[in-house]
Amino acid sequence: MSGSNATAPNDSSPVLNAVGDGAAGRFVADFKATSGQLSTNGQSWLAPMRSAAIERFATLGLPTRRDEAWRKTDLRSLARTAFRPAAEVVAPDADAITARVAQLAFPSVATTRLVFVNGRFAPEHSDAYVPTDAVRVEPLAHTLREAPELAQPHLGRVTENDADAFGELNTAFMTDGGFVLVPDGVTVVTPIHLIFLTAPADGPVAQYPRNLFVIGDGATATILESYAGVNDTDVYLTNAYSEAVVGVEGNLTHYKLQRESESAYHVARLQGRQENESTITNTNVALGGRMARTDIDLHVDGSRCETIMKGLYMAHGEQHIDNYTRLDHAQPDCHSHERYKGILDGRSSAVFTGRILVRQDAQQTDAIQENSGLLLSRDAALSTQPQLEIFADDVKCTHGATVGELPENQLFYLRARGISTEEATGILAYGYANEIIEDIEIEPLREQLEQLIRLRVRERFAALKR
Amino acid sequence: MALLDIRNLHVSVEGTEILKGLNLAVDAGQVHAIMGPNGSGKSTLAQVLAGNSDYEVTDGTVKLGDEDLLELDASERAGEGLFLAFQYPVSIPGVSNTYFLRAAYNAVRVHRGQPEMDPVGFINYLRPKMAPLGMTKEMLRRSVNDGFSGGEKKRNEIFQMSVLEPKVAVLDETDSGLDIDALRLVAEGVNAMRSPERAFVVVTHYQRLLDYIVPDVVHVMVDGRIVRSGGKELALELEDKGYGWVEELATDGEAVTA
Ligand SMILES: Nc1ncnc2c1ncn2[C@@H]1O[C@H](COP(=O)(O)OP(=O)(O)OP(=O)(O)O)[C@@H](O)[C@H]1O
Ligand SMILES: [Mg+2]
Repeated sequence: MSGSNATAPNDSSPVLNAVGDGAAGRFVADFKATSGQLSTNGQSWLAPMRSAAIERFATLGLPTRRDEAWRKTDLRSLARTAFRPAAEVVAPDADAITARVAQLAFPSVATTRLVFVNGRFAPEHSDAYVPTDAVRVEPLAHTLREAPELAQPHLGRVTENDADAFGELNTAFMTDGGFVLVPDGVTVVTPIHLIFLTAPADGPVAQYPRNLFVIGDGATATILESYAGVNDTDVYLTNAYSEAVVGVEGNLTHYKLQRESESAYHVARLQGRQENESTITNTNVALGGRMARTDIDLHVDGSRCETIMKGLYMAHGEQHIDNYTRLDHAQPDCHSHERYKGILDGRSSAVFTGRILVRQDAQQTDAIQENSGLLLSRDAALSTQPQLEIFADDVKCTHGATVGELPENQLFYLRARGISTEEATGILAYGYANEIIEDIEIEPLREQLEQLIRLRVRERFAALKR
Repeated sequence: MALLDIRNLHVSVEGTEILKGLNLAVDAGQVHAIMGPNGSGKSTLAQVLAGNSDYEVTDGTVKLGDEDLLELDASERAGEGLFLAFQYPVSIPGVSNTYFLRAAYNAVRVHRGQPEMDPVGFINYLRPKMAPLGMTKEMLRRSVNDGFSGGEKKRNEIFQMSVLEPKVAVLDETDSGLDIDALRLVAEGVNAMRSPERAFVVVTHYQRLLDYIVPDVVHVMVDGRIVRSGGKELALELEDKGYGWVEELATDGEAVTA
């Protein structure tokens, strides 16, 4: 990314000077040391936006378990780790990157693919993008340089939301990511696949992907974000931030597939806003990471909207996966259906928080939330917290949560047909997860997920036999 | 030698004895019917034979051919050729009927030392077995028994039996909940599979099924034991007189063979 430096290090800020040398202090010090190199793409507004963000981050500090939204997620090991900004690091093994991209891509269907390695756009792994006046699928850094007027009105402004430490950190350090603009009335049939790979060298790194999706009135698009590492022993932090606005009668199908290294930290946020009669279908699949936290915050600001939030997470070993979803119904006559499922094995743990806010004007809201977990091991732990806050009087909201083991009667039925306990467990766990993935329209994505689920379940029995 | 040989079987569930010294010998080529009042232990027998570990065998032996059935895990029993058509078939959301059937069929083949069958070969194997039991492609695509009507579930059990081709099939009230046409389909499905190498144990409450599947022997089970055995006319007698008169035999503690 090019662009001149318009920022002076914030030596004058009392907040930044007061932050000390703890975890937050390390990020602030990095900012001071590197903000000269952070791109402003020639935009005078970008440097102050970054500075304001790091100041808010310094005030907030990293979350701790005293913060209500982080009660069940321990960030101490993340806080102890010193991460260098990944953008400074050249990925060490080019062949491994190429191989990993090939694993994550879907050769059997057409996609428009943009690949980012250590936070920087990697044209050699990406499809050529041809910026036109019509549809744009391109690196955000490119947009900020060439057509900032398309991004600036939305960047950091898609929703009004409370300051959030990781979100601020992303804004301070953001390097690049996908920019998708679909003009009014246009349907983009080809799925857009954004791949974010991290490959540290000489110690832990942090990357800060930033995506912006602007779906116009009556426009339609399918976007998939894939996050992955190259080696399961690689230690890094992905701090991603995506914003999506869907116009009147617009339709966004959004997938996030998280397959980070099992030694990595992943913190990601999706902020979405819907206008009248629009649809967002979000599917959030989390398989990787030592600690992975995803925040999804959708603001339904139009009437007669449809919002679907589906989630599937699978953790094993010592993994911890935390999904925090928030759905804000502000307008009448909307439907939402949220459904999360998790499969936990080993000594893994997971948290699901599902907040649904139905504001006073949101009459006739029909909101369904379901979440459940399957525990394959006695040492695994799942904590679920539905939080319904309803201020309208004429609404239909239901929620339900179940956590348990595979039903004995189903296992016996399969075994009575000749299927071994081990294979029966695999079939049932797959069937359990299948409900979340069975109507994924990108067929190779669905098949890839089916395979990953089966593999995970088989692994467990291989471990038991040893 | 009987193909299925049950001797002095005692079974408890949660500390209560349900089967109290049951004897039953079924030869290859035969159909035996078991009738008896609610709660007498018919399903308990069926579940124990299939290897449900909720039931504790406290005494007795069960042999399937030369195999000591009680030593085998449920899946091994199926591999050895035992099949149970469940009184209450279980739904398995998210797993298609075809996938399930192929997994079962291949597991049984592997147990018998045969190679697994590939998906295309398996579809060809299934096809001729579908129409006779009124199974549609759509039913095979759907999740196992999920949203199936009571009758569809029962037909699916018999369809599974025809796919797995067991040596001994135990049908637990497969006729309950079937309409007249489905009853005929199921009975024809069973009759088509009758062979000199195969045996059936048919648990039913209704004489009507036995008009279609004509049994060689009819047993009456009361309070965990077979209290009377006879020819197919015993079923007619029961239909006529109810279970009162055989229940008295049970309290005498003496099994009577007509
Ligand atoms: N899992 C169980 N836990 C407790 N009791 C059980 C269990 N299974 C069976 N029983 C008891 O064992 C007895 C026999 O039940 P079983 O289901 O074998 O009867 P059945 O002859 O099949 O009756 P039906 O004609 O109603 O199907 C009943 O009293 C039943 O309540
Ligand atoms: Mg019964």
